[in-house]
Amino acid sequence: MRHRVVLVRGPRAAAGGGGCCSGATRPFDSGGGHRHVPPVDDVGAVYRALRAALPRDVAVEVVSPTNWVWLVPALLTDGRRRGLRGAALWRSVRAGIVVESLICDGAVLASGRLPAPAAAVAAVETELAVAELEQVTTAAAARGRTPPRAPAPPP
Amino acid sequence: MPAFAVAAVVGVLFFLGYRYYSSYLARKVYVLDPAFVTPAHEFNDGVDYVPTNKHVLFGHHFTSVAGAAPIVGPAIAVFWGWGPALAWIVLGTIFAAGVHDFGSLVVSVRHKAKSIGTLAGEVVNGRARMLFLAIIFFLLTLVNAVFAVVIGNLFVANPGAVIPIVVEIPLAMLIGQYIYRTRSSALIPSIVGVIVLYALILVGNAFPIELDGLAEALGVEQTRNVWVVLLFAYTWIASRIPVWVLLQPRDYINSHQLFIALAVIAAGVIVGMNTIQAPVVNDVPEGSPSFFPFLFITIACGAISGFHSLVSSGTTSKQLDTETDARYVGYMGAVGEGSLATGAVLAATAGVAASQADWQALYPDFATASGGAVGNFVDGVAVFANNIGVPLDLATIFAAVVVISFAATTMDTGVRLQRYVVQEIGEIIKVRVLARNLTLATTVAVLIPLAMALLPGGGEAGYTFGVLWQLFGTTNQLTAGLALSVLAVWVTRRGRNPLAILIPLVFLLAMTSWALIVNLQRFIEADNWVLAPLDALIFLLAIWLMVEAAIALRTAFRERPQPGAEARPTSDPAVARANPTSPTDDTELGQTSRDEPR
Repeated sequence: MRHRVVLVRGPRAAAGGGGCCSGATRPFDSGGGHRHVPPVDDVGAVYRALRAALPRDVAVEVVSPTNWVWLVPALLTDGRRRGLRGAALWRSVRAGIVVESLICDGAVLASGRLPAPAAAVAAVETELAVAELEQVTTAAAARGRTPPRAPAPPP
Repeated sequence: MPAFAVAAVVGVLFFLGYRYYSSYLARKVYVLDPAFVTPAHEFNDGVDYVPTNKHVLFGHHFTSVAGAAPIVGPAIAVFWGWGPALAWIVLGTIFAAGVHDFGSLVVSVRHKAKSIGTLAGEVVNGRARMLFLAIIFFLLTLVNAVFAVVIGNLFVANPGAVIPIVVEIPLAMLIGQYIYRTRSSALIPSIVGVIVLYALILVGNAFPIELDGLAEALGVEQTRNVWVVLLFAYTWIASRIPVWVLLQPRDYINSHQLFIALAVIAAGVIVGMNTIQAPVVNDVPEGSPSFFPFLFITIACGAISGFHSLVSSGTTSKQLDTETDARYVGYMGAVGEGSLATGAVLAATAGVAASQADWQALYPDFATASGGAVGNFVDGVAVFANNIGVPLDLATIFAAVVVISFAATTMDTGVRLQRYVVQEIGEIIKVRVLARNLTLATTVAVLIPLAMALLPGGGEAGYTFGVLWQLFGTTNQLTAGLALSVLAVWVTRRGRNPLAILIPLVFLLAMTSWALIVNLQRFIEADNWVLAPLDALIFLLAIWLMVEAAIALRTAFRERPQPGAEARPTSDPAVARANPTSPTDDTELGQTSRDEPR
């Protein structure tokens, strides 16, 4: 995995929890008096669009906002990898743990409300291109060469 | 024996179990295939079905299975000594729970993430679906009854916990509304919620709420029963409101409490260096239930719990990224639950008493032991919290608040789930009003466990609770037995060695039936004509389960492919993903054993 995109689920999405002998479980899959209604939020649509557009080596993780045990260290690691420190890192983590957030390699692209799927894909692709360019620049600087020019931004 | 040393040894054994036994299960029994296209990929909708990082999924899975049950059972079971209780927790986790939780996940993944109830009908036979429904009905009835009694007893013993627990309800609703309306983070409001909850412990300590006067005015002999009625009135309302209004935000708070409680136990054990005061094997008074077979139904969650199969095959199987992740998520979920149960054993043997005489005074007979078990756990955790500087009176309320929060959430969801089961039964027996009328279904789901919780069971609080807890353990083990039967049939049909599943299956069914027979005899002798028929009914379900499992296994053994016909997993993901008819989907093993086509 070279890149990681994190999508934080909405406030009413299914999540873990509920204790032993409970949780979001049903005895049977269909039929009976209970009809399962999946939660409706934008995360599903954005996830499907991202998964269809991005190469396989870009991990797209969908995380419950309650899963802070995974989410906070992941945001800290990715943020530090981007060079964020101190207050900037703290702001990034705080924005990233908000419901319906979109984070790409530690950069918070949306927080509190997701963009439309096409806009989310465009934002992530741009972010990935920048990250790739940064990597090339860093590698070139380490070898003492001139980095290639950045591609022109889309109109 | 220092509690810290015991915890370290258990940790090493769990590590070895995961490292070697789960590896054996993955390679030889479940034959995990990294190339298998899981339902999360096949039906990927980004909502229910999402390929999820295994660490993320483990977090969801563990918080779904961990709760109050692995606390109560071990706290009662140390009555037989800490040796048998801990041995069953360790061996049960490694050789039974791990096999069961891991296997339920794999089989569900191989069958389009179907739930274990549906799979029982498809893999075993149509009757097994009905059997599953009957077992789960009794299980939920007893879950709701025992947890109402647990909470009632804790409110009576810790009146300082009433205010924090009651205020937790509007607090959780406020947090849910706040997150929804401001679309903010769940983490910070829920941490604030935990802080407010624990600050309310001070208020609760200053203003303890007791209902003795109300109980007296109503002519109710035990104050606990007033609490039980109030609790069921609350769950009737709570189970009818949408999940995200109360249950989900309360889970936010509980997820923090789970980690706080585990951290307090671990830190308290290390800092205090408490030693275990209970004997390794307790010389129990004559007439007490023997640890064979009762230990194995007293500790269900924490050693093996059938309800985990519902979680494994419910939400977890829909999110598994690769089949090989099932080992980590499923087996480690069982290990996490076993760790919580180990913490409960340490609290009830090392934390709660300063000397062996003190401990013996708390566990003089089975009735006192079972009635006071949760209180002993609370007091034990309070001592651990005290070791790290929390004043003892506040620490006791803290521990009570943690246990009550878990138990109340379990009741909320238990009643909600029971409502679905009642509606399902209404459909099957063609009583449309029961299937369609939410109010009626909820009322039925509440009234039956309420009656169970208020049963006249032998006068003193402890006896009724101990018996109810054992019946709950029995139904939980029968659910596990049914799930293990599904796994055994599935593995046998694929020509693999099912011994790793058959051993816990036979052991569980033997212990459960033995305990049911002994209890039945005891109830009849005591002229207890409420519990005797209930015990007899559950025993009939156990017999039914054994017959169905035997028939299904016999058929599976006949149909099993010859040695050498076993499909080998391919190591090339592209092969299976591109070619759905490759051997990785087991389709060459006979029509009856075929996994769901992709």
